[in-house]
Parts: sequence; structure tokens; C-alpha cells
Amino acid sequence: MKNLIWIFGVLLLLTSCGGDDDICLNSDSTPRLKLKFRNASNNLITRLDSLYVDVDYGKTKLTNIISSANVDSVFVPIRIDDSPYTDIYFRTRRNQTGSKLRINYDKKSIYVSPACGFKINYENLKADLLKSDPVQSVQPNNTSLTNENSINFYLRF
Amino acid sequence: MRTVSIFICAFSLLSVSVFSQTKKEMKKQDSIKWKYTPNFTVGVDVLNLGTGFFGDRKLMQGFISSRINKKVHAIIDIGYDKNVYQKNGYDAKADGLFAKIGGFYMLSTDPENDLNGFYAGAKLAGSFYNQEYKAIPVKGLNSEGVFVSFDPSTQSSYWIEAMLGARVQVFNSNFFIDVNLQPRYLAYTTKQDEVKPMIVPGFGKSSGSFNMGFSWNIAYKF
Repeated sequence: MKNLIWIFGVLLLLTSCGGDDDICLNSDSTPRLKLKFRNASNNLITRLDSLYVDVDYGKTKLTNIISSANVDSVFVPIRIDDSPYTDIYFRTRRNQTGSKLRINYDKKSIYVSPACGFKINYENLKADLLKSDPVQSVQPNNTSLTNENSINFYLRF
Repeated sequence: MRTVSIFICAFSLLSVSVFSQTKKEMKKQDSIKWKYTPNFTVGVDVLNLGTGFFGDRKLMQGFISSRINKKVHAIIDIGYDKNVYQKNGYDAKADGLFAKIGGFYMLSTDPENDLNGFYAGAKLAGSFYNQEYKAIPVKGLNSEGVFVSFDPSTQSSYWIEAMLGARVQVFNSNFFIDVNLQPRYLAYTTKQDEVKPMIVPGFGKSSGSFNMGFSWNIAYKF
């Protein structure tokens, strides 16, 4: 009888920690676009004294990703819906009109886990600088986005 | 991987305690002979049948058990389960039939009536069902409400189940009340495009491989 209660206890304990269906760690979700900066005149890696990045996610307003000083790189989450491109806006001064960069890509849905559902991997990344200044040009580096380890584009300021 | 090792640990502890019990009891009763005559007990899970009227999950299940010798009973469960999963951006439904086969051992019995008592057992179970995942969320920063959907498909899942319960005769009738807990472990499941099922008929929520079932049966002994 005592034995039985003990077995019950252990089994209850086991099943009580089984509810892991709603915790998704960020590392398992869609990777972000990684951008670094180069100096337009000498093509060396550079830091920007200030940077404002906004992204069009198809909502009524742009979403601000970063507004900060002394930036050497930026991670930009891109769209996971059916849109074939994401528009990203860069400013180095608050009241600038800024640059518009359009990233085109092919998407692939990848199943992660019950908690995370699907994530998106991007292939054939292509950058079109629709409006220059302050960004002068874009250099592609890694045109596939499956993790956040490598730099996808260098922006030349 | 961690759940697997926890399970193996628990299962070996369980089997050790069940096994040791067996030995002790064997010595006491080796003089008593029990001869098998065809006998059947048929039960219906009234608790889950009842809760089906109030929730999304419709679980109907019943069992047929037969006493093989003094302490051991064989048991077959058959059931139908229909369930939905709508949580964290998921919208899924599944329905189908399941069956379980196994046996249980009377751990301690009432000295006056050896059909009354506590038991422990194990079963192998399988489920064959239709599922439809109308929405599975896509996770990405700053974007919400993006889903992937799948066409309906037919899948199957298999699990092992322990059972711990008690059976009590209702007065002097042939009716019994049989209550048991069923800790279970999902061993194998077929998948649609690698997607792990969130619900499996007969098993319940299956995002983690462990689950606990409960049944409250009214049984009749023929």
C-alpha cells in the first residue's frame, strides 16, 4: 500500500512537468538580417555615430528597430508574411528623410517544434537601394539567411 | 532526451516494485490453485463520457477484461476520441479510434473478495486518426498572425501506458466501479511534413511525450 502511494507520487511528479508546449526560445525563431557598415570612401568597416532604422511590416506605421548612437552592426527582423520583399529605412540623423532599402527574397517555412511552430529561412537575398543618402551603396555578402551568424549585407555610408 | 531518461528511470523503479511484489505473493499462495474458466468484465468510462458534454474533447472508451489466474487479468480497451487544440496560434483538430491491450496484476486484494483491490498494469496502445491543422504559427519578430496550414490527413500514433487503479464491487451485484490512472509515454507517431502532433486521440495532448490519463468506469462481470 505504501509502495503504491509512492509510485503514484513519482508518476504525478513526472507528468506535472510535461507542459512544455508554450515556451519557445528566441534562438529557434526566424533569423534576423545582419547588416554591417563600411565607409564609402575607403571601404573599411566603420561605426556610425548614430543610426535610426525603421521597417515596413505592412502595418499602418513603420516599426522602429533601432535608434541608437555608436552602432557597428544591426539585426533587422524581416517580414514573414506573403510579401516577397521587406522595405527598410535608414537615417543617420533624426530629421533626415533617409535611405530606402528593399530586400527581395525567396522564403522557406521550416518546422521547429510544437512550441515554436514554424520559422522562415530566406534564400536569394537581393538588396535594391531605392533611395540613397545616407546609404551610398550596398555590398552583398551572404545571400542566404538561415541563422544569425554571418553578415548578409554591408551598407556603405 | 532528458524526458526519455526520466522515463526509463521511473519505469525501471516501477517494474522493480511490481516485480518484487509478485515474488512475495507467489510464496504465500502456491497451495491455492485457481482454474481459468471463461469470464469477462465489460466496463464503460462514465467520467470522460460525461465531461464530453461540457468540453471540446469527446472521449468515449470502454474495456473488456478477463481474469487469467488468481492475480492477473488481461485487458483490452477500445475507444473513440475527438479533440481540438486552439492555443498559441494553433488551430488543430483530430478524431479517431484507439485500442489498447495489456494486463494488470492485483497488488492487494480484499481478503473477503479477491476481485476488490488495487492493481497495477501495463498496456500497449495505438491510435488511428484523422487530423487537420488549420493553423500552425510562424514565429518571427515584429510579425504576428502568420500561419501555415495543412490539408486533412490520416496519421497513427503508438504509446505505452502504465495503469494504477482500484476495482470495487458494488454491494453484492455483478457491477464494479473501476478507477484508474494511466501515465503514458508516446513512443512513435507518424507525422505530416515533420510536424509533431499536438493532440492524439486516446493519448491527449502530445506536445510533450508524457501524459496522464484518468478513467472512472462502471463495469459488469459476466
